[in-house]
Amino acid sequence: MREDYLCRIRLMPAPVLSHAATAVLQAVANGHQHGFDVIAVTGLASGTVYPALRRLEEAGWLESRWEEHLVAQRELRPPRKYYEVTAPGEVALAGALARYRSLAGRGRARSRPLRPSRPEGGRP
Amino acid sequence: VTPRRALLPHRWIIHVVSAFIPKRLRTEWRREWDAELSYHEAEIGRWRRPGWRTRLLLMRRSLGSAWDALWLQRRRLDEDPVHDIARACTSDVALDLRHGLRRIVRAPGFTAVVLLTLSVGIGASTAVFSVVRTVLLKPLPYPDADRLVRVVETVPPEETPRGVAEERIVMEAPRLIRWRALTKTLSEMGAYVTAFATISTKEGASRAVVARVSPTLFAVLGARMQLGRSLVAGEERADSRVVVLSADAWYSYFGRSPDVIGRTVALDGAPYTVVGVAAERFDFPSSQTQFWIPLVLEPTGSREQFVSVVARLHPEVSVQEASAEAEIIGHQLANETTARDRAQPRESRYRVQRLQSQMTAAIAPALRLFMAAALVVMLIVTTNVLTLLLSRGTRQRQEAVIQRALGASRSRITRQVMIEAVLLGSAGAAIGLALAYSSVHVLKAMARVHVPELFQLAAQQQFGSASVFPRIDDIGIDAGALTFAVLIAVLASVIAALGPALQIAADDRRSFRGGSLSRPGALSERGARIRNALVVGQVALATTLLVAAVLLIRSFIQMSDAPMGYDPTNVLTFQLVVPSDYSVKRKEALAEELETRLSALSGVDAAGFASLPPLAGGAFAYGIFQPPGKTVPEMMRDPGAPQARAVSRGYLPAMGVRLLDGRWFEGADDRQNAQVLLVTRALAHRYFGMRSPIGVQVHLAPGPRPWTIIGVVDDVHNGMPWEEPYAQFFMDSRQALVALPDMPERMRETAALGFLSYAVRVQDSAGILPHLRSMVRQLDPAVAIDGAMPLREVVSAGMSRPRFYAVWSGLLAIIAAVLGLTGVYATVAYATLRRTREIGIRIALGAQRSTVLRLVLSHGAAVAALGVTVGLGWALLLSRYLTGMLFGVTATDTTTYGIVGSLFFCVTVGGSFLPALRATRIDPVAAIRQE
Repeated sequence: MREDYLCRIRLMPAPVLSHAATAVLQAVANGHQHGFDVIAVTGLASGTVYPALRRLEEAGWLESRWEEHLVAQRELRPPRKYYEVTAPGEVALAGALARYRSLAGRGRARSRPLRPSRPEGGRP
Repeated sequence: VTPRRALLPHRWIIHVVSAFIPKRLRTEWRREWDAELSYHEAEIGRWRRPGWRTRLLLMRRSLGSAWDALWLQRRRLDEDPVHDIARACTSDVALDLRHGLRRIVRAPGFTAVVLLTLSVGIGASTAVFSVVRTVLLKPLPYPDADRLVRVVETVPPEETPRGVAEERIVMEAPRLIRWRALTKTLSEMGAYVTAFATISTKEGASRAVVARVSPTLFAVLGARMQLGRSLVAGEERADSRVVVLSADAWYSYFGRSPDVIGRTVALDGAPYTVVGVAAERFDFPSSQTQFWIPLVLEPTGSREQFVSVVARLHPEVSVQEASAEAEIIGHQLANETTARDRAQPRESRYRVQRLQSQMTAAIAPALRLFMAAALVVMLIVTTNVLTLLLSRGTRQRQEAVIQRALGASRSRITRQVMIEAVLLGSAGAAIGLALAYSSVHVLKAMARVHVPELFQLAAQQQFGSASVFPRIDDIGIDAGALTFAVLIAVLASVIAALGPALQIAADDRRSFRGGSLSRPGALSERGARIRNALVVGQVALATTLLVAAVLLIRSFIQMSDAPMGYDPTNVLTFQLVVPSDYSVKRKEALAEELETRLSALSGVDAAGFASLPPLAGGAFAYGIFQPPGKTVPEMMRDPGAPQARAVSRGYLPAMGVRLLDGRWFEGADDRQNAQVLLVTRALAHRYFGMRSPIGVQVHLAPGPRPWTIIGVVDDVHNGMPWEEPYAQFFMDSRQALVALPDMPERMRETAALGFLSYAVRVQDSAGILPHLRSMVRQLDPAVAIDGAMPLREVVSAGMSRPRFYAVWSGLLAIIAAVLGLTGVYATVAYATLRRTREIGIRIALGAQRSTVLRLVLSHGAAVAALGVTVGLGWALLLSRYLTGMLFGVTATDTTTYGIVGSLFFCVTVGGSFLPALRATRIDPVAAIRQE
């Protein structure tokens, strides 16, 4: 099943996951669901993370939802928007990670290595 | 519900950026960013106290939203393009634009006044800015121009001829040679001397401006050649006859022939081989320079050879370091080379100055002053437009209150006001640019000086250019000026729009607090106070400018009336160019013959020639003037030692020089008879005090025979009228030829005949020119006349700088005054309009018309009095900046201050007369009914 998807993704001309987008997707997959959390975890600039989030959402690999109003109200702050990885998104992430890892293995990746992700639900 | 927070910088950024998000996504976008920011703020607050570091972090985070916004722009295209265009046309901004345009068109009178005001301000300041930018800000057209420097020597007053401190850029050749060897901060030092040479062509003789330059000068300036090469190091020898042509000379003497290299040019009779043609725009040291030939520096000081120096700084050296070194080298050389006639070294006598700042040193303060004046005009324009917008605001404010009640947001209303103002501003900028474009032409025409180079040498020495400012051809409305105009237009309109916008905002707050909605205009007492303050400021600024302008204009008038020692009206001046291979005898005979024939022409009162014309500065040396009782070394140390010119018999009468005592030169004063001199009043005063010098015998060392003083003439200015005249004496040109028997023939000829500069006193100087030309042709076809023009024009060209100051400051001041006046008018008129009801009631209760008149006029008078007083105070504070530009008037001249102050006060009070008159005609019934 997974193999099929991978095949299809590899054949898809666009969008190709950039290094930054992969990092963002991975951060969301690891439970950092809000924009600023992703920024904090990946160390990327906000000007990179937000467009990446929008692009991933456009590609259908992320979904966004608004926080429960009551939750926010309890904490006296406006409701935040959070992002979740969709099933195709998970597949894409796995594919992208494999690709970048192989690139790194061959020593051709020039970009910054991905940061180690925090355990599930971990908050800074 | 979100708790309302203060608008912190990062929130403000989001606020601004959200304006660029496609409208469909905007609300959600802002909610997301706001939520994240406030969550983060709270989170940070929980851990540590929010300091500037966290604020900076949040700001950096929120700045990323700009990229987000940029990325989201493509979502704009997601929709159907046709609908998109339709939506764009009906979008808020487009609506506001249309609304603004409609409002502008609906009030043509108001619009015209605002546009006129704006365009005049923008035009004037852009024109002045384009000059300032080219002259002061743009680097000179040489590679690495900011490393080009001059060595400047500040000569203390006691060592200068006129007793005024001078800045010299020249040095003796031996000193330059030593300096070159000693310096470690200057990589190259180039020297040059401007000279004139006679060129013999097939059409006859003509005169050309030749620069003798040391070959390094080309390297220093990084000059490019369009053909051949520049001069090279080995050519600094007396026998190397090579020449580099200017692009202009290449055209006029060789018709742009490509095989010009290797051909010869005869300069002063000697053949020079052309080795190169300079690039089109290379015009150092002046735009009239046509030939560059090698300058031979004489290492021994047998004859004082002064050269101007341009140097290039070593790459890692600062101007300060080079100056420090110059101070050391300068003193060291002064001690070893010219210890004979120099006083003790003084503090910081030598320094290194950037070439550009040296060239503009004389004009820079004036240009800065003009820029400041133009910006002041712009400030007045801005406040004027602000007042105009405010005074129109009543209806707009009522409209705004209604719009607000109907649900328009405050930002939307503010934007509408801003858009209208920016519309007006851009229209004003467009007209202003057109104005600036044409006024730059006028400005350039006024600043350009059309006189032969000979008359420009003095000005060039002093100012680095003969015209009012250097690099006049480069001045124009370029991208920089354009940007400037747009910038000030936008700035002015936004500032002006702030007035009504703030007013509307204030109304808004008030109306929500339950204030009166029906007559918002009646409430703003503070608004009235602000308007009054603005007008006081305008009047004050205008007064300051007026004082400055009147001072400059009076100074110019003083200067034009200043006695020059000769009468330039009805005098034609020209130089006779004789082929250089003619013998001295033949030249002298020619010159004398022409003088005789000219004098015989009908309409000519007198004619004669001199070795150098007036206004050319400088002088030839005929020996050291030695009055009785003085020794030669004493006179050599005397910095005010007299200058001299050799003149023909008819010259001084033709120039209109007055004889104060004694007699003129006569026919008998030729080379066989006793040698005689005429001296000027300054000379007589300097060396003979109260005694009459007539009959006194003096010596011109080392000449053996004595000279007898036969007459005293008025002081003749050889420079600008604002300079003190030198002590001078005149000798008969026939005797000058034999005065210095030791001198080589060529040098004696130069001293006696020199430029053969003629002066012809004639009523109709234009009418005589054809006669003159044919007469010269008859006399000798190989001889030519050069630089024929009325002396009046030469004198007037010499005064172009003060005239320029006077005219431009006058123009700016008049603009400022008119604007200030309209400001007073608008404010008083508006205030009266607002008080219509009150005045109506007063009249109904029996107030006299005169009382009403006084009521309104006193408002205008108070504003005017305060403004004028403040303005005079400012003028007094700023007067020291004017001092250097004035002649015959002090910068704190009480008469000027008094007259300008009282006149402008009267005029501004007059500005409130019209509204006052209108107020007296108010119909009480209509006024009370009006609501």
